[in-house]
Amino acid sequence: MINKEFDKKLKNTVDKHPSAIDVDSFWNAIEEDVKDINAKKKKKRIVPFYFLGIALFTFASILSGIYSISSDFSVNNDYENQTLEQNENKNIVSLDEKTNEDEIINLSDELPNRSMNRVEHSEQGEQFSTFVGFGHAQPTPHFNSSKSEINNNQDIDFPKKKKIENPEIIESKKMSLRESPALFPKLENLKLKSFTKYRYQRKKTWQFNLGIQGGANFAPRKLESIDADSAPYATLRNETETSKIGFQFGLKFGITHKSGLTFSSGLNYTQITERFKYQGSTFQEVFVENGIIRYEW
Amino acid sequence: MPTKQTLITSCQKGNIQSQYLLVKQYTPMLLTVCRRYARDESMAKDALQETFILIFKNIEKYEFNGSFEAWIRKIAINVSLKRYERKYYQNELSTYSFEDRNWKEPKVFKQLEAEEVIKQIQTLPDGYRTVLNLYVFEGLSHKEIAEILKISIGTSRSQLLRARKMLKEKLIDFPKIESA
Repeated sequence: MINKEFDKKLKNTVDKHPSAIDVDSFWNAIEEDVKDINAKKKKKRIVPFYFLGIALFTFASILSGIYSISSDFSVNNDYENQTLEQNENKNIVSLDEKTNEDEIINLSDELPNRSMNRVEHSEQGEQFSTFVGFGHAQPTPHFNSSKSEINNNQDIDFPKKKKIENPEIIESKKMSLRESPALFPKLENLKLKSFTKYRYQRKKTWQFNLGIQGGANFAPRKLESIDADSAPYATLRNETETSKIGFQFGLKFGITHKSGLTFSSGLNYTQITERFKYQGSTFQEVFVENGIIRYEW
Repeated sequence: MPTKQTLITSCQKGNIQSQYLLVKQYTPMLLTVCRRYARDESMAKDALQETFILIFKNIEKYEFNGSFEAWIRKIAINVSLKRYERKYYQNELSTYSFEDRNWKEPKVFKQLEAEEVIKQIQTLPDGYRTVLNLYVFEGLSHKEIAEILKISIGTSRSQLLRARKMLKEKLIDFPKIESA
């Protein structure tokens, strides 16, 4: 009972007692931090627009890629007849001994279908690559409790210049704040702050983050033959096939340790586009074995 | 002078003038809270600074559902509690002897000022002071205190008992009482 009365009186005496403090000095001590917080919040409001910008850029890249494909690659509908003529002239298909008449007819029907919708020609344009990435990575968190105060008697050491020989010049570079406070107005202002300045930052050990990325993509390809017999084919392909700008976008998840170490993973979609120029059929013989069509290159 | 709701809304929008007014209005109250939990005045002011930084950082999360004073007071308490880790309570040893001395309760609070009581609270060991604050001023139970400070309920009880006794002794020894 005595304890309860003690507690009650203690609370009534202390709880609603306003402590005396120089509010203006206190405000001066925290004003910069408050302004930093306000500025960071404004930046956070800008982030959605940044996302929107990236989304628009990605969309534009995709559109430009699609437009580029549809405009540069023209399909020649007359190519079927040209292919047949070429095949007849070059005697590429020789099935005399291996197949009967019916099979030849069927195979002849098959060949034009395979050569349809092939690209006749495409020109090589300007090639470049861009990449836009976005991720939210927290700065390395720390709790800065700089309690050190400015010592007016502390000498300031200026960076030493190599070719200063006059000791008076050297001495003039070392001067006390108390002797010449006017030269250091900013430091003089700092000493007026009576409170320890704390800069609060995130203290979580792990921080998750999420990012999206998107943009144009260019994947150059190099084709090499493994032996001399394959060299003509490789040369043919290198001369007639080129890479083209595509697009890519992805989603990234990450986890950042307070030390700054970040682990991330995600899903990325990459489109690889190529263009080629048709140079006629490259296979030498076509024959049928047990109902299966084989091409001899 | 803007109303409280206008002031808070303006602070949520990042108006620096409103933030100054908010600091001006609530600093004395919050400083008292911080002083009760702190060992000395400088630590209390440091805690107060951190409290206001946290308030302005998270003021958008305040949705006018409860008392704003209670909300900022809770932040101040949390900041103060975080400054003293668990080890302080566990390893704390008191050399103070709890001999029965004549406790003249009514006289104490008649003559002592709140400032002097706060100063005496600050002289208590960290664990005693924290448990006393949580139990007496925040009205928490020993179970809640044990959960917050991660100590046992028995430890909380014993720390409160010792804190009370020590504080009573200090208040009796206060010069004003002797002279009275």
